[in-house]
Amino acid sequence: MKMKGAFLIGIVLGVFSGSFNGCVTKTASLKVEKTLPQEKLAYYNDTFDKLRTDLWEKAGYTHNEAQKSNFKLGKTEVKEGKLWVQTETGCFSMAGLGSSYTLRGDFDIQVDCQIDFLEGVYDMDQSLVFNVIGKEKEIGKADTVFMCLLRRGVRDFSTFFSATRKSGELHVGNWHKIEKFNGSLRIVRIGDEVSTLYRLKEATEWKKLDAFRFPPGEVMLGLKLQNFVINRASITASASATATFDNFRINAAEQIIEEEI
Amino acid sequence: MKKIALGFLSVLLFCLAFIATTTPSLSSDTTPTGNETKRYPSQETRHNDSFEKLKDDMWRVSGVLINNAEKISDEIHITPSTPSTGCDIAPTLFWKGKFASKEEDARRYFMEAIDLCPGFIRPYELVGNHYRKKGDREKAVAFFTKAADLGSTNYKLYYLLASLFFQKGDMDEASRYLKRSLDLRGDYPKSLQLKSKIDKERDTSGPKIILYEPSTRRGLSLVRPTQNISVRGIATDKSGVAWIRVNAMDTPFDTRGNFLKDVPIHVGSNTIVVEAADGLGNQSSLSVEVKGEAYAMPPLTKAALPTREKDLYGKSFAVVIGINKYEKWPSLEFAVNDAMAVSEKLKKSGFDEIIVILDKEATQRRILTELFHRLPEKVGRNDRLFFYFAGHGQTEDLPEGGKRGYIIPVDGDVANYGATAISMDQIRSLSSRIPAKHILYAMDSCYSGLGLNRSGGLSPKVSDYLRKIASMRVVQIITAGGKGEQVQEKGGHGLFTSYFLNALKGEADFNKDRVVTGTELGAYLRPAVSNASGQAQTPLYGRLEGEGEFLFFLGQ
Repeated sequence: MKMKGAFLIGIVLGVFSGSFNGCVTKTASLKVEKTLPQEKLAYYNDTFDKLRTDLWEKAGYTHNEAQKSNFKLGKTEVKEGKLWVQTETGCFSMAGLGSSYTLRGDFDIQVDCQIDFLEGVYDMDQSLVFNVIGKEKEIGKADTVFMCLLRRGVRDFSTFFSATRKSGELHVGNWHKIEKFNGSLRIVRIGDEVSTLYRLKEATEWKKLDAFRFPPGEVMLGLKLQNFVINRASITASASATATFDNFRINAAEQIIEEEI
Repeated sequence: MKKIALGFLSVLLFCLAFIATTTPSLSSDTTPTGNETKRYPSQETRHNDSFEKLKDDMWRVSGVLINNAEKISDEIHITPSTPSTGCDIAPTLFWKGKFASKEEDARRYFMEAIDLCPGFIRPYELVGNHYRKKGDREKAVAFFTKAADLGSTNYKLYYLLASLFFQKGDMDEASRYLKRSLDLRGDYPKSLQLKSKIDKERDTSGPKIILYEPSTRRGLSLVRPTQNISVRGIATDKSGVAWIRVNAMDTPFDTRGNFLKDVPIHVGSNTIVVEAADGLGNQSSLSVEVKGEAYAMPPLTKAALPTREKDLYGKSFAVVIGINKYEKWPSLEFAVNDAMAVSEKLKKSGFDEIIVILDKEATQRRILTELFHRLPEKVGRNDRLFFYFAGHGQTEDLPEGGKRGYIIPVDGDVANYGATAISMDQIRSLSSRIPAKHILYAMDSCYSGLGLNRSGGLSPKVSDYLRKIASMRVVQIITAGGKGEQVQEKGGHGLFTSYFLNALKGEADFNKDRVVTGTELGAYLRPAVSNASGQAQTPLYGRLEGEGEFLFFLGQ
């Protein structure tokens, strides 16, 4: 009984220590030295004034048969100079983009995003993801580092965290409780270390969220919003989740590999 | 039943909320905040491992509960689920294909995506590329073409299609697809490289060179006094003209390839060589022999003074055009009167053949036929030709800068005058087709962009001057006004023609030698018409080539 009481106290303390302002991060300065010149990188920067099919493919992927049998692509559109993504109702749904090119070696990428989580919706998840995903393995098993703004249907609060999945194992890093997010997400790889950073709107400095070991192979990039987490097997999704992305930039990249087509 | 279900759901949601709320706090508890050192999950402590397990357990529990809740929700029809269509499933297969390690697996996934969603463009492109890499050109083209037909906006697709047709030797199709690629992304380096290859394949010859002056007619040996000679012509090439040289001297040219270069000639045989190269480096050349003679002033006696045109000209020709009643342009009042009056004056001035073309006769076809087919057959090297036009004129601003003048025939279109009118470039080129010694164009209409050399002033009063200038070729032009000016009318004639007729009555004979030269005509008309019109209309005068003078004889 004592153990249980201590556990609950720990839980309560944990909830408060996980609030966004008391975060683990510090002001971060990371610089990728090995990079292509800016004039080369500029082509890949995207302010989402139009949907650039030369840079992006529409994202849409399911992880199991249950999801596959009841899935619809969400809406991925450019509206008012931003990439606007919205999930469908009544099904598993994903909206967003994956890059049609890959990065190799060191890189530094960032994107602005905004999400206001729906309150009181328990029959779906709300998951905004900015990720890099290795090309060496098939998609369901690929190594990945992702930054995630997540509201699980089973929770009454939302979280912001980054994580990596390597060889099928998920390692969740630091996380924060949040109500909504309006700011920028950034992923930097130098050597075999990937750092995740964020910057709230109006803030001037980046804060580091995590650092993970990650192989230096080819990765593609993703920006997406989905209404399910990977292991969700059923859904009713009575509402549409919505988010926006804007100002995608490649600040630095050692190598950008274009597809032949 | 519904009430029971909702009650049960409320309890479940309460439990879920509690469990879910506690779950992340565990994570926070085991992931110390304020940690400024690097932390690699794979190196985490057993404490962390137990956290992960606990966390997973919590997720699973919450997952079961939420699944139960959703089943109940389904029963009470909160939100009916929608079965996936083929096009909903296709993206998953597409992405599996994108990440497939084996080419054949990728192709299979893409084909499945196509089967499920035949309007999904991207898999066609990727399957096409699979076949292209395998060397199966026909299948590659089939899949690529399907993607194109479905409306792909992928510049790489059109580049690859163009390169496949290029390999097949079908340059037309290659060019067509390459254009689409470059329309989508004009700076795509691979497309630009292929364009250069296609251009090179299609263009293996150097620029076409046409010499307007000196004439290059076969067998003709030109005799010139020893002086500079103007070499004038045009070089054209579909790949663009890179450079033109006349006798190894770099020669400037305009955007259409027109060039003009003065080169010195010597007594005896002179070879003029015009060379040109296109943008691909293909070269061509043209040469013409010119015989240079020292100019010797003919002996002059009083009896030999050139007081009659027959002494200096073989035959005298005139083409006189006047148009009042246009088909599509506003009518004019006195253009026909002007033409008739000029014709009468020319008859009295000793012209042998005057071709008068009025109103409905003055079509583009008739005028061009007269100028470019009939006259060249009649006019000889020692003859003179006077061309008079009274009617509408138009000046076009060229996109690359500069201007081009037109005379408007009776059937000229208002909007499409570029195709239905006669450009001053055409008129000017007449001088290379007609070997007449002297040509004078008088245009009672307003133009700009004629590229005139302004008159150098009045002739010196020397007795042998007429003989000298009469021996030298010249093409001169006088127009009623510049671009944007309105032609004035007075006393039943256009103001310009009215003064032109006065000039031929002797008012332009400044040196009173009973001969009005082209230069005198210009020098008289320019201020006279300008003053009479209150500066609304100022004639332009200039010489298009040569050093001679067109001569009008006033009679005794």
